[in-house]
Amino acid sequence: MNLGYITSLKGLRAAQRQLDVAGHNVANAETEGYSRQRAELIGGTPIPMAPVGFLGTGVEVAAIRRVRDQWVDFQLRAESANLGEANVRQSMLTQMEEVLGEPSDHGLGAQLKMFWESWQNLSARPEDPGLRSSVRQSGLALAQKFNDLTAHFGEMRRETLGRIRSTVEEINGLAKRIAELNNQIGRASAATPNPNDLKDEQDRLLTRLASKADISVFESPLNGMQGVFIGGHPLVSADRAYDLSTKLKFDGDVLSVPFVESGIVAAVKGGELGALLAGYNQNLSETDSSGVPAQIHELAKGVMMAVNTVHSAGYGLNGSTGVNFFVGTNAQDIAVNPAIGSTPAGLALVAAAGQNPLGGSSGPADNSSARALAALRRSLSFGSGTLTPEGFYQETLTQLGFETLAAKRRVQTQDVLVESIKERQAMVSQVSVDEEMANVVRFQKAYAASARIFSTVEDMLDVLVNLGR
Amino acid sequence: MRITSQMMVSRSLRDVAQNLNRLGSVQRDLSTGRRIHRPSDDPASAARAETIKTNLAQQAQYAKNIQAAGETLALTDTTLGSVTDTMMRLRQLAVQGSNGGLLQADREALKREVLEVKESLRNLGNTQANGRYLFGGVKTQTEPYPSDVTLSPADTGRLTLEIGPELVLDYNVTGEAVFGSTAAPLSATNSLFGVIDEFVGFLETGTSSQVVSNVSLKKISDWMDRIGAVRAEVGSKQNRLSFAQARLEDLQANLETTLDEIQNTDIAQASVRLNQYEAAFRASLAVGGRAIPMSLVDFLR
Repeated sequence: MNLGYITSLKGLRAAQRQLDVAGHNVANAETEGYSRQRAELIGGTPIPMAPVGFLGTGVEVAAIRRVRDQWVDFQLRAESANLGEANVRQSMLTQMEEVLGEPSDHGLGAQLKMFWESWQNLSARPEDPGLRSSVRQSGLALAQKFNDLTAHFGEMRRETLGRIRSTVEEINGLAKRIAELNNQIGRASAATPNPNDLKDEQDRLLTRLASKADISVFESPLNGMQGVFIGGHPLVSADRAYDLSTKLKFDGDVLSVPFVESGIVAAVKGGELGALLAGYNQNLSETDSSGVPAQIHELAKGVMMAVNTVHSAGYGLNGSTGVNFFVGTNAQDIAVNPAIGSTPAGLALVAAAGQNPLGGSSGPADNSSARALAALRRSLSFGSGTLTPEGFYQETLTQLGFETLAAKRRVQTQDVLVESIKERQAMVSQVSVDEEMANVVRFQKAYAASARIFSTVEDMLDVLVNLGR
Repeated sequence: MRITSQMMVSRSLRDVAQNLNRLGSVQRDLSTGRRIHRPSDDPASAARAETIKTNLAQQAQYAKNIQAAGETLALTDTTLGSVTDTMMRLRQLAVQGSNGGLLQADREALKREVLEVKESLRNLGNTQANGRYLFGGVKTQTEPYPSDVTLSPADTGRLTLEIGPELVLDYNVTGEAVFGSTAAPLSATNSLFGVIDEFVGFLETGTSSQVVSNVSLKKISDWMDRIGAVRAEVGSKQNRLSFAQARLEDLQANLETTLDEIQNTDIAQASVRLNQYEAAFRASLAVGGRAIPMSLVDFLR
């Protein structure tokens, strides 16, 4: 009879535990990264009753586990790295497109076009001071545009450096918290198995870390600690985090991120940090030929050299020769020769004539130099003799356009992929309030049933006690 | 499949955002009339559009040059017309000078008129157009025929302009082609002014009318032929220009049509899409609004 008390009491207690777990689930229904938990029940240890067999002793809560698919976690981390990389790459390339601001009537393309046209216009009336002035003005505007673009890209490079540093700091912060959680999990596991909520938090941190850099993660089967590696080198090992350095390493113009302690360069290829590094070292490079700023420099240098060669061979209205139209070394400092000022004497230096106009065989209407300068527009002086200056610039734009388009598409597909993985995870792990409500009703009924057994046992005991009266 | 209400919320939010995005982009295409706003919208088409635009800008420049050269040529033609008229007057005077029995007074009167004709020819030689001496070669700022024409030998440089790729047209008539050399001393064989001076000399010295007829009248007639030839050349250049212009206009029209197809929004297609996307957007909003609020909690007592 005593057993009846205990069995029903165990039933009551199990139902209560289940209800507690359901309550915890409902409370965390909106918690990011939370996996629903389940109280797993097991039959009580039976008592042998020879010869009939074993008598059950009610129910026990065997474990409180979280419902989670580790394989989906693994996939989510890999694809989060890809999504992080794609997002950053897309935003960088889009920003570069915005800096160039094409197609427009104010971009570098338009300024180049106006510059060539001003020479063509001058060739119609080389002696006209207004047209000479417009050549100077369009030269100034072109040089200014080159300077502006270089400044904007320089700004973007500095911004990117800042973002790289703050991303490194974020990675360090996440690594530190993961190491702390490793410590907690290790200590907790020793005493009580399944520290569910700690593990949820760690999974959440790992997914965030994965979007920052392409990490690999190994879980220790012994104590549930997570080891995190970048390119084979540990970022987190047991309860120890190895920081990345915010003192970035420059190898010429090529940037990398070393570990603080070992000084080894972290081989970050993916994630946000990977995209930032690749963007800085390639797309935004001033030296690598694939960099847009490098191509702008090349364009400026090429135009400057070609124009100066023809211009210095020509003659100004006052018989001057050997005068360079542009001064400077690249897109950053290109400028119109300050001697070519806005005064009539300054404008007279603009070399439109092929021979000295003051000499016998030439005159102020001699335009052969102006025509030669205008014809530079058609000269295939770029891309190993295959592209005109405008063609070269167009090639830069097209290249950037294709890369940006590819990045946009990658973001879209990656977004869909990550969303579908998250959905799969949600299908398994997310709390369904409806389900919990249904369970609550079930647990309530189970509680009520156990209570009924209890009162029945009590009634029976009552009968027994009152037998003699 | 296990579905939770959060999944439904995030799914319908995603769908709504995606539909709004599509709606926004087609709306932008329609309101700007362009379908390429940045190179990455369609890099291949953007590149083609830019190439065509560069091409069009060059054609426009050639058209401008053709216009400028055409204006100068038209003015040259008119001026040469006046020169021809003046030459006809000179020829009449030479015919008069070849008449036998001219008195000294007649010769004086003839001479005065010939000198006047010479002066008006000199003035025609100094014709200016837009601040440039028409017959000044490349020395457009120097008077080619000063009162003593031998002082500044008129320049023979050519004014040139590009009227097509690698196609350079010289569009001026040099003073030498019309008036001959003005190098001192003036010669009666290669200078119009020399011929006139010779005629004046004949009138002063009372040379026989036979000689005037044989020498001056003939030379003046020959010179008129020479100017006629120059005028014909100007005419043929004008023809060449109008051909070039017509060809240019054809080319421009073709390029503009292509450019329009590449970079402009197909209004009909975009309008149909706008309606489609709008309907999809409305539907996703409506479905989201009805599905999200439902929960078992509402039905449990």
